[in-house]
Amino acid sequence: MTIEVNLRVNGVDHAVEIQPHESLGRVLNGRLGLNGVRISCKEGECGACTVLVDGEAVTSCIMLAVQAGDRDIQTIEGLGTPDDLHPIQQAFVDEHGFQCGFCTPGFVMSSKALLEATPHPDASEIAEGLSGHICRCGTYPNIIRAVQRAAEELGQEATNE
Amino acid sequence: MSEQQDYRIIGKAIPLKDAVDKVTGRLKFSGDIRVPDMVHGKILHSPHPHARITGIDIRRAESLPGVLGIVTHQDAPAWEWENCWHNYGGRILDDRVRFVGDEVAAVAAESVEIAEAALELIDVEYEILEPTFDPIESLAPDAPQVRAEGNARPPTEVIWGDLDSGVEMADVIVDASMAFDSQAYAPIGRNACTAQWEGDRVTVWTCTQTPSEMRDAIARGLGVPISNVRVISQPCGSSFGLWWIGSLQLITVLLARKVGRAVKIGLSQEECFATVKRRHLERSTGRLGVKRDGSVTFIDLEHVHDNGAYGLKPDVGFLTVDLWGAGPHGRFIDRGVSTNLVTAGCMRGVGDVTMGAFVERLLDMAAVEIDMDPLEFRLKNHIRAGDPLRAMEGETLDQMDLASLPDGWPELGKLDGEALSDCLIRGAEAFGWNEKWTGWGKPSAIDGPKRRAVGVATGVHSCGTEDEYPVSALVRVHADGSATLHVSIGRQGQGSETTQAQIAAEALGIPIDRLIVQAGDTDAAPPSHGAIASNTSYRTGFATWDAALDAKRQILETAALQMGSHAPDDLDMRDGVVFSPSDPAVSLTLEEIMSTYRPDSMTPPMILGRTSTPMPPSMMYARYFAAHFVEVEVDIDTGEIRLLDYVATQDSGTVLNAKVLENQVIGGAILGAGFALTEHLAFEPDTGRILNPGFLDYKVMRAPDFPLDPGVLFGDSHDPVGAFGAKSGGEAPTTAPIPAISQAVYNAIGVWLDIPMTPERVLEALGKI
Amino acid sequence: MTRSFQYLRPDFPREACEMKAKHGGKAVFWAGGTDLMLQWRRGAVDIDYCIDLSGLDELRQIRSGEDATVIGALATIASLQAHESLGSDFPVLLDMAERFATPQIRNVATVGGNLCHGVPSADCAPPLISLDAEVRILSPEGERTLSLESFFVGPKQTALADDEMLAEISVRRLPPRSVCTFERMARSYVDIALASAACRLTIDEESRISEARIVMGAVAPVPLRSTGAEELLVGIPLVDITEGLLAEVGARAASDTRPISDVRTTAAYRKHLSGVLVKRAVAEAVRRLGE
Repeated sequence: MTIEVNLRVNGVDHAVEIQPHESLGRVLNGRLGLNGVRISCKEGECGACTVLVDGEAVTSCIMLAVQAGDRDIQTIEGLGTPDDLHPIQQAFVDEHGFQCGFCTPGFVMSSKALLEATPHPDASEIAEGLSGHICRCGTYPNIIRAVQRAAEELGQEATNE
Repeated sequence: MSEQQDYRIIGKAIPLKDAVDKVTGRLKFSGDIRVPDMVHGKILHSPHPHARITGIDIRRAESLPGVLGIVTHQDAPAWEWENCWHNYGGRILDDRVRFVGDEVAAVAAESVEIAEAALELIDVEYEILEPTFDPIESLAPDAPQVRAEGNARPPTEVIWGDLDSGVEMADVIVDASMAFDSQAYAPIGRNACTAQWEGDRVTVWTCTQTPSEMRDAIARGLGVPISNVRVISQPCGSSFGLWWIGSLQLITVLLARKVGRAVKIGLSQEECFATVKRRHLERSTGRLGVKRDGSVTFIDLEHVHDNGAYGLKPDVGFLTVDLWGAGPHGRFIDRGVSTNLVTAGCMRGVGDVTMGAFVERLLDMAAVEIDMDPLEFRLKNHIRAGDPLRAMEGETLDQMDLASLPDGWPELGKLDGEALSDCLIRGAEAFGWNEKWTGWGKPSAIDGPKRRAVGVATGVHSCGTEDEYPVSALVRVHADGSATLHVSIGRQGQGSETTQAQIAAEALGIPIDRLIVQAGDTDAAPPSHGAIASNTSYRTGFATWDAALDAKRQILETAALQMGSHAPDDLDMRDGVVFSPSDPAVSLTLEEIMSTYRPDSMTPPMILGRTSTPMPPSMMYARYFAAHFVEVEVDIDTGEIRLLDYVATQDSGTVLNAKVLENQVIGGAILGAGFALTEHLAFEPDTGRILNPGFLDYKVMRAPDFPLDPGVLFGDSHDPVGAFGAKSGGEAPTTAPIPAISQAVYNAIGVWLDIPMTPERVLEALGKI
Repeated sequence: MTRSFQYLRPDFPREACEMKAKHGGKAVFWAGGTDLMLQWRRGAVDIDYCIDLSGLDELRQIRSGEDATVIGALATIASLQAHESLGSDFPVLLDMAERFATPQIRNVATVGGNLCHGVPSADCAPPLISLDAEVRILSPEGERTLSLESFFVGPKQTALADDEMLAEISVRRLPPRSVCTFERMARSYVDIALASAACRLTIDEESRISEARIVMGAVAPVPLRSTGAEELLVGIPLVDITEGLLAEVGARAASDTRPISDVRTTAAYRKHLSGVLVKRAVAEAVRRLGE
């Protein structure tokens, strides 16, 4: 059986035919070609596939795609562009919040959700907020610094507005 | 330090060259590669730990619609491939399986789903053979033999002085044994291989740290000239030694040739964890003697490591011998043994992580007996510049014609330089060691069931290791003054493309954004050892530096020729502009030089810099060091160990990029600390099958599991050989965490534990369960 | 060729039950799916029909009433954390939620899903059982109410019949002078519990323990209540609770456990740990009641 589902990804509607068992991550990466949705563990453990659904971070590898139908899905592709990075992305670049970069899109998306809920987190709030992610390279201290830096930057932007 | 201030690029913590691709999710990993007309492969793995394939019927699978072809051992060449440093020895596909997960066959089909369905239709008959799993039991002559060569590799020995004298000299002798479970590489990404034949040429996209060696292995195995094989190394996430050459690539190439289509095989998490490689299971026993003044009189160690099914390593390296080899008498023996477990191979810090932790334990036990502060004990005994490197003495050194070596080379067989004392002293200061150290076996604080204490330990690794591949790089300068550096090192993500770019741009005298690093296309890069054994910043760095200087020499010669007024020696280049220190009027951009015809040939110049200076064999003199300090809290009721504070210091010579090195140091510390506390593969007793082939039950550290703001300090030594004085970075920091944490745990609760130090091991040692 | 299943999406709870009744044993209710997806991929569960409960908005609510708080089975773990009064009424549920899996899983996983999965390590079970939670169960014919304690009948087995659905979990407001605590231990920050323990104590006006609940996770085929350990506490004045009594309570609870050895740890460790966690949960409850 196939079902048609409307996936609103980064503000654009996509009508896709899917099989019921297909995960959101599989459809985003495999069908819509979103390279930054990284499918790795398929157990919801590593966090590399994290995207935001209605603003909340979810592991797309274990979520049914059909359950994301008609909801607002944000992926790393909708965040910043190479010429105009989002402050969180820029902070990860500047603080070296990664090595291999495989886990990075997921960390960035969770950081976005975290900073929206908690604009000025301390280091342990950041660590807990990002505990759904594995950085096997072990760059956690620089990831925490990157999120702190992004928080400052975003706070600054908010003040200026 | 003063000379460093002149550097434009070296020492700057610039972002990684591919940072923007990484944070935008655009970076293509090996699993993201798609080529036109490609089909999909899947591998059939053995359900048995040890069996002979007596029949394999692929007819049902072949007739499944969408299946394009199948390879089995009948399609594989008789040739046995061998991986660098005995990491693998075996056929691409064999009629015998040696571990649960061993490759039996592979299917190519129009979709992954069809390929998976076809695997279930391959009928294999096995003659079950008796397996062997325990490393010590497998050494016995009557144990089931895993390989034609037998299970036991010939022992490797390092002996110096005379043990009996050392025993006589000692006031105190301690002895101990220690067991290490097997650590998984536990990669965050998943490798894939895509192979495409065009006639008798094949192009391979995959993640490998050793593109040159992979190219040559494919050529040898498939019987084509090396020139016909092109390997394009892709990133696939953390590697730590996992992705060198593997069955994955050789099977994909074989399958693609058989079906006449481009084939891609992607590995699952379980395949990455359970069918490729892992760290060895290791067992150490030994003794050590000291005098009351704290000087070591002898060290005597026997080590056994399992190689799994296809590893052939006779030893896991003896660099820890070097660290504590200043004592007059010693003996290290290591034996490798085959088992019916997944292959074991070189993982980040191989040997040093394990044997090093055991040697440090012996040191600690001796220091306990004479009641000497572990910091003081290490400062007293560690190797100094000029001390002999025990593992290098003897045969290897004898093979070299020392008289013919170039002037200015370090003295081989002796440690060339070190700043370990500096690391220990400054680290102790930053950590507050003197305030926190309360004595052996004495917690610094007790709060109900919780015991706090501190530990210090050291780590070492060689600055690269010479092997059968040259040290080489190429620098091409283009018509617009931009440049490409070609090096064969792969793209694992540790920052090496960036640090190599920094070396090349600094040496050449151009801005870093005018230089691209091409890090693993074997059609373009000269052959090289690859990014293994802490080679990259030291040995590849040397090659890159030399090639860039060669290109610069050619540029200055060309400019002199074009100007006709200055000698090349009177010219220099910086920020892409050639100038004369003696004549302010001279100012030629590199682009101008490259687009101006040479007066002698009436063509534009061709600049191609290459490595031509021989590099001294770094195993013979160069080491880099780590000293780590940790504060732990042990809960004596639950057995839980938490890390409260951490300071890591490292002597890596000149720091090329502080942020890159910081990630290497802390990443290494977290990898080592993970092994110290939670990381271990669980093998099913009867089959050797891995029971935790994924992050659900293989527990790696996450952000809250490690101190959030660890201290990182660098030594300020400068190596006389390495590029701009740089040494290596990535492995030594993996080796210090286990002994540091283990010592701190002893101080907290008075027991020495096997690795990892799980809660149940803590409670067992305390007699609570 | 590809393994998949049929997809059904009811609009009302009753309709969901009817679908389940119609399609029988190989139909499953799919809530957050964070456990079910893994099980299905592993082949541990056969699914012919996936009944997606996402459309049942009424079961997503958390309603605080005067006498009781009702948690819809489809309330996510994150919604427990976000609720305006749940945290102050039942702080133990916040303590539990904060340590439940990962932030991403908490956004999707539901309280009902965690309970219906029926694994002994389910984090929601011990605190809710210690709060004497009741579950409201719907079927095509009607509904019934059951104590959560009796909801669990075996490993991955609950009291639900094939056509029944867990609709709500109801927790009565605690008597005055009550405290509930939760202890949990795992191999690392994010991990399935090796063991867990919840304790609820209520004291009377003379500061004597009038009611006690001690419930352990991951140490028996079902979340395990130790009435033996509870009895040791009832009637004891707070001031008379000694270290020795706490140890006795822990030991008594541990002796009730029937843990297994698996890839995560050994049975011996789990048994020991359950005693430690019970002791700590009780000690913490006593400490807070004494404040």
